[in-house]
Amino acid sequence: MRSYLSLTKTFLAAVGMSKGQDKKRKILIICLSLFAGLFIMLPACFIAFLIMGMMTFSLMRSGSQAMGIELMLHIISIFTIIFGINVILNEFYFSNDIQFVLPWPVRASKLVAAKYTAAFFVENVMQILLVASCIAGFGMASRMSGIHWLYSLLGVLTLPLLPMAYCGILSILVMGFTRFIKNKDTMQRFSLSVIVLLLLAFVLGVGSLKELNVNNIIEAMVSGNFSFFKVMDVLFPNVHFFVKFFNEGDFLALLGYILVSLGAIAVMLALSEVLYFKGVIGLSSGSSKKELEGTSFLLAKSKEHSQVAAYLKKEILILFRTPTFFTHCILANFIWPLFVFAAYQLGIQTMTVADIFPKMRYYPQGADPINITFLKEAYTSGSIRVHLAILFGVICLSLIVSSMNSISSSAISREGKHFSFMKYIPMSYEKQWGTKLLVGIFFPALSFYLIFWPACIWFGIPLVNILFYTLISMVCILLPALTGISIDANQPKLIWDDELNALRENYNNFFSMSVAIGFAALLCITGYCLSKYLYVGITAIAWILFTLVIFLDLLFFLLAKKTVTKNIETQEEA
Amino acid sequence: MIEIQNVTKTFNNDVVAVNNLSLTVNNGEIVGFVGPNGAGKTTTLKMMTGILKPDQGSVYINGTDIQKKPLAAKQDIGYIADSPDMFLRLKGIEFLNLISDIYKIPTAVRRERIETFAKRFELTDVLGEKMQGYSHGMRQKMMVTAALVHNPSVWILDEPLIGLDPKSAHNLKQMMREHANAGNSVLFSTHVLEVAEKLCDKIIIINHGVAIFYGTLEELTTQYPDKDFEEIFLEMTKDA
Repeated sequence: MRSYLSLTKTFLAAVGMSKGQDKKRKILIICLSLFAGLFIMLPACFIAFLIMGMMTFSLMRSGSQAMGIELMLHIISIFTIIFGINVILNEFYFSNDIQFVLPWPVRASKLVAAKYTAAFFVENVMQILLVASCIAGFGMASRMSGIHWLYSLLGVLTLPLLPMAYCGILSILVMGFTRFIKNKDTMQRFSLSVIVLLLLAFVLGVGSLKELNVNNIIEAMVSGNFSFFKVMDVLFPNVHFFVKFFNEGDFLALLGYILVSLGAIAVMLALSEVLYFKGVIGLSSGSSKKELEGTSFLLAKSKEHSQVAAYLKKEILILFRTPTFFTHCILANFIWPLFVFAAYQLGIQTMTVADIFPKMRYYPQGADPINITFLKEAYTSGSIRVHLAILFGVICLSLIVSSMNSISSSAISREGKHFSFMKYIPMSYEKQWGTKLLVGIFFPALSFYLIFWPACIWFGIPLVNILFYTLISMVCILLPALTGISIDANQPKLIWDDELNALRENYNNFFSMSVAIGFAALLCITGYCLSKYLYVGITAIAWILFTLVIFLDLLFFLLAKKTVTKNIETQEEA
Repeated sequence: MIEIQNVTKTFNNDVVAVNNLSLTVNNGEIVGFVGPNGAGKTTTLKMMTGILKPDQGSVYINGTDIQKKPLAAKQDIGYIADSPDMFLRLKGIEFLNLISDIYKIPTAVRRERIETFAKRFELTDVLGEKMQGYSHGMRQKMMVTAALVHNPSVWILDEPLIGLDPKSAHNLKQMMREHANAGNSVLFSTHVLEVAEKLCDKIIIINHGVAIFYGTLEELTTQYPDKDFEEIFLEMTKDA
């Protein structure tokens, strides 16, 4: 037990957030954390709370209110697996500490238990908050009594145990029985392909759900014909036991919950005794294909380029060749169009809100039928509300798309142990971070305009408006890139075990995204107030918002110029 | 030429890594930097290359203050860091081209230099491969090539011989001598006292951030007759 605790403590310390060096940096981190809480965590939790409450209200009529919370907890469990599998694989098999830990006289199960615990604590903060919000939504709607709130606490803290154990079991089996994944890059490419395939399957699957609406789902749930439920009950029996326990106070269900969760962990540990060392020994961190090009050929290709061009090439090559960076920095830009495609597949362009939520209690009666066909017509006829909505859409989407990837928010952290390279080469810091910023603008812009321009043409937006939207989206895309690099330079994660830690462990992307959402809210509220209370026209609002974004860009550029350079200069740890 | 004047560096406001250090590495000299672990060698080298900023004092590279004109000073330095695990996703040739572009080396010159170094360090067969497939020694040879490809007049090398095979180590030592003989300066840190003894014109012994000796080996042995360099070193740093 003692060695398990020591190991867990060590692994937890290794994945911790890097500490701020001075008071100013610490204050900034606290402010960013508050910002993230306000603009990401709070809205996400509020939405979960609201959906859960509404669903419980609807289900209460048929007396099956607990089915809603079960459904939500099943969905959260699925996402725990999707997000957890990569973390567990990295923690179990590809962290740098493996080479030091393996020679120790420690049983495989103890090692795996410690690594599992460390990964559990690091990974599940958001899931725990979401579970708590769902339970709060359910509890308020169903008027749950005091003792049941207390019971629910157990699940809030321990529900992810089972899905995380599944991730562990899956990792141990895959690594124990496959020879081709003995290499970190191969494994990451393999898991990336699986995720992309799942995502494509999801998009195509959604496309076939023409009858999608909450009412149909609720009816299917109540009548017991919801096949998703049947599968999930087999996969995550802990959810059913937990809901039964906290909703009805059934202590037999509590016993079932504990047995199922601990049982999965026991299976994982038992498997680790047999397969962990078999899977972990002989792993390598990278591969290199032998190239057939001769030296003379290679030298003939060596040509002088500018410092910026060379640095840009280095940045892009590293982003593309490091699977983790590729997924989080490059691919992340191209995920959202898939969801747009899924929405299009669903036929959203002809739907109304009433189609999607036909029996929602608070559906505003008598409002315009908000669907794409209506919006298209209203836009052409010059409706101010629709013009305003499109303008807000462009601003929000460009800000969020730009903040979704980790390019700028990990620009300094990615340097890791060779951060000193930035400091001893004869290239100014401004040029270096400016080049990194360029990469951080290019890829989100590419993904944004790839969808945005065809969408504008399809929507029938006049050329002059397309040009304006392009202009305003460009300055919007720049803003999160500037804040992202400023945040990362303030608090870079330079000591990391593997690339995933460089991107996740200082939450810089999370902070950057919350700042972008904050800007989006600020701009939309300003535009709305100008229209609603000061009766300003749409063209004037558009230019005011454009000027405001330019002003913010300028402000953050000057701030970045001062702080990023200074932070690189004063950063000493690597 | 490297000049350090009254340089002090403190970490976390209380750990003095280098304390009021002054030294000069003249043109035509190879100077060996020796000292126990944690004595302040790497910190000093990092201050010379601009990686760390001294709390007090100045560093001059060929007369240029690295704090005031960092880019000009850095252009004259060839630096080998203490770890060769750098940009491992790049191919050897890509890394050398990156460095050549950063140091603004014209096409013809870089081709000639890369070819020369590649032959000398037997890297010709691996230039087209990603460096993550290299052995530790090959990576170190690549770092040496990258540090010297722009033909800097000042060489600052942190443990440059670690991981090199005997032939490459011999080659590098020979290059250091040739470079110094051509009127340039070489400063390198090492834990191998024999290397310092055989190769260096002068030796700096540093302990607790203070230079406790700076001079020729003859001057040192005169102070401690009947003792070899190893014994003298152990005697001088016994409180480390």
